[in-house]
Amino acid sequence: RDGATARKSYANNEKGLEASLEDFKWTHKAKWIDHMTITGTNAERVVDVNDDLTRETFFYERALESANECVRRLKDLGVPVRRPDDYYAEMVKSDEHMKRVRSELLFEQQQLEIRE
Amino acid sequence: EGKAKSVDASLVNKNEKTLVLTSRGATSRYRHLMLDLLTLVPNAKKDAKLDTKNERNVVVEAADLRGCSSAMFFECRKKQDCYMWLAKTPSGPSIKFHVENVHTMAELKMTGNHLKFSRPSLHFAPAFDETAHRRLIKEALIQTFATPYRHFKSKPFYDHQMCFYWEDNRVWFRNYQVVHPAGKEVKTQGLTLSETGPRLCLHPIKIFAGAFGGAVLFEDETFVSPNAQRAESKKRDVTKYQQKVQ
Repeated sequence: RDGATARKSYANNEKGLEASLEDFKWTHKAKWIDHMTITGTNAERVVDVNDDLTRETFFYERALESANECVRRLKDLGVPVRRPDDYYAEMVKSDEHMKRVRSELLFEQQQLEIRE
Repeated sequence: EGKAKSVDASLVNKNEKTLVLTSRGATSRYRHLMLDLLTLVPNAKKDAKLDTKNERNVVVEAADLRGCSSAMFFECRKKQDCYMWLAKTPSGPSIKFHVENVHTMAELKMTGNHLKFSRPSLHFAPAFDETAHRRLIKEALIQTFATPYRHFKSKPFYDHQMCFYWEDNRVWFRNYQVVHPAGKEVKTQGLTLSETGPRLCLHPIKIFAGAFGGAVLFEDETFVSPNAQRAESKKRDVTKYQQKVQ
């Protein structure tokens, strides 16, 4: 019983981690367009991760900053950003699924109105 | 307008490929999560579920056979706990995550939608650069989730943003559709986002030097195994009952 609570020390071999990273990393050799990674500049942290609403708002704002930055960089490179309206292709969610999502949204709105 | 400039890419990652598979006994939620990830990563290969839970070297072999440079293995235990292994094959490193708070794309509350296999931009919180183990996790995530430039399955245009945040010793994953303003809104409105899903939380438990094994480079001390958590809550319930009886 005691053995389980008083545990051995936890490993954090920083030299080993650095060496391993050195071994397999390639992003330092890549151009930005190869991976399109944007590291946020806002170092704020979420105060309480269990507060769903503030957490998700925080996440949304950070994501939006990066999205704007990404569009700016893509435009600088001359890469097309926006999909033309006549470009049809498979989406991650099917039309069937999106129909259900919309009807669910509508249903929720109706429920709200009824309550009011 | 006119012809697009040719973009200078290094193509270091043009042969990156990820093998994705689960162990036998995965519950539907985790199976859906795996399928969701397959629709987001064009350079991923799905493999049949693995019968054994303990001989993970089989995964390395399977990845080698399929020409994959990394593997994502969902190991489900007791029909409720799910661990995700993210490994560079064949020589490592590998990270073992506990998968928490999963919401799949099939759920109806997420209203976003985007082209299948369009190239995402990856957002990382600056906190990933702070310690050695987070830097390693970041690199591994980039290598797995970035779509190689001009991958044959990928579609042009930028319409989704995958986000990785670091909070509470965990990696939080979100995927948003990028909604470009159209028509009259172009001048007045900027981009907006709409969440597409899936949502998940990855708690890194251990980092190993090899693929699915080898020296332990990092261990998270804040991690309590779900078994221990359940035992704890049971114990609490017992005392609650005893107090009631008295």
